[in-house]
Amino acid sequence: MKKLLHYLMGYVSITIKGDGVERFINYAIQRGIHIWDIHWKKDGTVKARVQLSYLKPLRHVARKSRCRFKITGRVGLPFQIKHIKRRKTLALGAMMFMITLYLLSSFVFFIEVTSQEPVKYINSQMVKRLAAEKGVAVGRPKWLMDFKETEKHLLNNIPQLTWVAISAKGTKVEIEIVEKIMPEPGERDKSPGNVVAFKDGVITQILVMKGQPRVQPGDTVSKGEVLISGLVLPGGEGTPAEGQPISGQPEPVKADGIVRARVWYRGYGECPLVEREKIFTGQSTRALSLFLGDKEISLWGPEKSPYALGTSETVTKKINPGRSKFSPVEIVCKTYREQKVIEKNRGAEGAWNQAVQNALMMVKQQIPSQAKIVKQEVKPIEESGTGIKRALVIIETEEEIGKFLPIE
Amino acid sequence: MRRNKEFLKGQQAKFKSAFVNILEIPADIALNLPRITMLGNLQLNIENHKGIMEYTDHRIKIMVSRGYLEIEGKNLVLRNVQIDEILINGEINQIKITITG
Repeated sequence: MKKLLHYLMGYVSITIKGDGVERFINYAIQRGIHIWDIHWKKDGTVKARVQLSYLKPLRHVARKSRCRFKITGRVGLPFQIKHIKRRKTLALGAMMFMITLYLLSSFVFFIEVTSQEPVKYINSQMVKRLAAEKGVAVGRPKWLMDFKETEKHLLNNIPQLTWVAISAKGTKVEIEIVEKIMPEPGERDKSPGNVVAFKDGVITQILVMKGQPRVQPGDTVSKGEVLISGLVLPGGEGTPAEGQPISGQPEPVKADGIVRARVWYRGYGECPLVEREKIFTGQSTRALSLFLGDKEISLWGPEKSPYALGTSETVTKKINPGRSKFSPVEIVCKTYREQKVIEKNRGAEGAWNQAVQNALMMVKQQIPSQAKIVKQEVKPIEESGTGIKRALVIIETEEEIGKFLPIE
Repeated sequence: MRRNKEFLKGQQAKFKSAFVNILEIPADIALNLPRITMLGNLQLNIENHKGIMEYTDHRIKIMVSRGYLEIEGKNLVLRNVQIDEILINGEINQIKITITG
């Protein structure tokens, strides 16, 4: 610490000549001059070090003690500053170097397109060209570049790009890209498979694009049945004749085609003539009780619901912490709410309409959007004095039931 | 009443002695004596000195109150010289202290 201070203030080495070096030192001490590292040299002089600021008073000391001293060395920051001041060009050069380094480091010298996985469809030259359109180009300063905007531009202009990140690392700009994973062209065609039914129905129409049809219009099929087979037997496309011996191996293909069929859906709905409904009256009472172990102490409010019809809600709160050895103490807060029953008379017509609507709603959930509704039938189910109207809805649709299923 | 006064006097005396004990002035300051600290034979620290009488690389004589201190050795260096403190480095062989009175 002291050494650092000495360095900052600057100090000089002096050689003291003449008799009475002791006197010289004593006078210096008395004047409060800090003097250190006093040692004898081989040639009979004494060397010492003195702080730069004490050099003037030291001259008085020398005169008084009849000694002479000579400055032999200068150490410290003040001397270095002086040194630099004398060599202005050097300092300027150092400054220039720093400025040039800073300026050059803020320019972009390289642009690199990287990807974690090997790039298949995207041309890195194209990425660079598009980036250059937005200003990310070699030789431009970094502060003029808008990476966010360039990223957007790249994403908008390269459809195969999923994600892009541009970052500057020193003088290098890195454009990191992630490609969309595209299916291999022709990959799907290779795997053989059948077209199977995913619903029960009666075939109305069959159009085979590839494969061998197994059903004909008018056939009733059940779920899972093969409609168009992916195994084409040699001997032309068409249903193989019964009893004909199969010659050669069947050729697996990817079956394709459209199979339309009539499908029936049924839905059931009911509605009572007189509907009872519970509604809250708005009346409520609260009760508070304390549980001590297994004893319940009612603190306030009724213990049982005061209403003939109603709900009760219970909120429990533990008071003592969970790992207590004592039995748990709980506060139980109960809320009773009164309810009442109101009757709603719909009448025969209203109840029937409601029942049909319920049934329709139920059936509509099952019908896919592509299906075409052909016929809609509403049948009442006979009621036997229960006061409930029941309706059965049968909807006939024509829809596609074929689904591709690969052969394992 | 009188007993009470006596008791108080005793207390006062006790308090005084305790006070003096606390304010016990160290001998080196009271008698203006040098405090000499030595680190092996390499370093010597003298506090409360009165100046340098003689200095060569094998012999240093330092004035202290009512006497002087003689140090003999090899390559003696005055490492740090201040108004009340001297630090000597080097190979110290002998220290002789002479205090009269």
